[in-house]
Amino acid sequence: MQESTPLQTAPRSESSFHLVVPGPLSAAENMALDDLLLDQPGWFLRLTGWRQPVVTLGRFQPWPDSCSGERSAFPPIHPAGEVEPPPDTLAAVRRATGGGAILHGEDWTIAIAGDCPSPVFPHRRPTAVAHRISLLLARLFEGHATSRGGEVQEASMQHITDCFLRRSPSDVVVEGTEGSIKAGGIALAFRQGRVLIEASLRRDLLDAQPDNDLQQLHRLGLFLGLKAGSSSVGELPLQWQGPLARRVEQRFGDPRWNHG
Amino acid sequence: MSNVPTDRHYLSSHEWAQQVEGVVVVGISEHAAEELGELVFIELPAKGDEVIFETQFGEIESVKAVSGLNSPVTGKVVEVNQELIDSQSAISDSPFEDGWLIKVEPAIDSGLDLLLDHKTYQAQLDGS
Repeated sequence: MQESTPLQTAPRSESSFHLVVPGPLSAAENMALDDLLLDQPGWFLRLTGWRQPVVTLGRFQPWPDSCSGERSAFPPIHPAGEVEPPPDTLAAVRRATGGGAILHGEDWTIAIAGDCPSPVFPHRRPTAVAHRISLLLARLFEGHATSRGGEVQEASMQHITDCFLRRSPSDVVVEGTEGSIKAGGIALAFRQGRVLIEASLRRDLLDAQPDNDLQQLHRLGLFLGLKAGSSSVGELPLQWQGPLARRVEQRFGDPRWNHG
Repeated sequence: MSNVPTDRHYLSSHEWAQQVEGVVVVGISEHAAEELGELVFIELPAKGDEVIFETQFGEIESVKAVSGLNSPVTGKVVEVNQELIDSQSAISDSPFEDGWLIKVEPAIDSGLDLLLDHKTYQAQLDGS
């Protein structure tokens, strides 16, 4: 008998997903919105738009200046929230999720927030959640991308700043002439029976066109076993705006949080 | 099957509490440690900080995932396991002994009476 995969055995949930597409936001607003969705009841799939290129750092990642000997593609960065950022630098914001640093702007950035454990993610085990999402993201680009798989070696990758230079079983990969190339990475946060999943996928490697972003996000919701629900496109719900502003002020827009 | 010591009480989110000479020792269960997998960072409160029953008091990172740690007791932190800041291996290797996280002086309304006993927690694990 063929071994079942998490895709095949996933039970269909009675829950609906809500698409959240607020348009381009600042680095701090984007992180604050993901954090807010982690604390809201319900299932949210969200498209992340960036006002300008931004580096996001993992929750506990050292500031990249302190990392030596790495070949990273990042330009000089400064903590988001500084009143007068140095010229010719990019803003960097710290995520609520773990993992390595990601340069956003040209990528396809999404976030998913929902209940865990739940019919969608029966176990709170990070490897299980990451594996399932990786398979589903690869399925969006079927025939082109796969999930890397293999053994977890998180501790040995901590000195590498750039997420896309790290290797993880949950990487979305495409085959190049010299082997697998990382085309997508994910990071997670678990809090009070909820999970937040943030993903960055390289449009150039996956042929992911911005025109298809919404349709792909919708497909991902269905792949998760959720039913299609409402959408918030453009303006965010009014009741979110106060909590969002507070999270920007108190955390994600604070240089002390971002510099770590 | 994960070990569930009978001399502790538990939150459904897998943190444990043990009263020892008026102080409450707090940690995460063996089941939680196994689920988290390889640990890479931890953030704990400082000595003197207040913690609140069923409210997040720290965070731990494993496999690109940051997980909140919920307090099984309300009170004041009197000691922090500083050895975990450099290496979290004790949490994986000895979650009920060397891998303890904080020690708390409980408040009057500590919440301890609301925790699960070992049988109820074991039943939760068996049903998951």
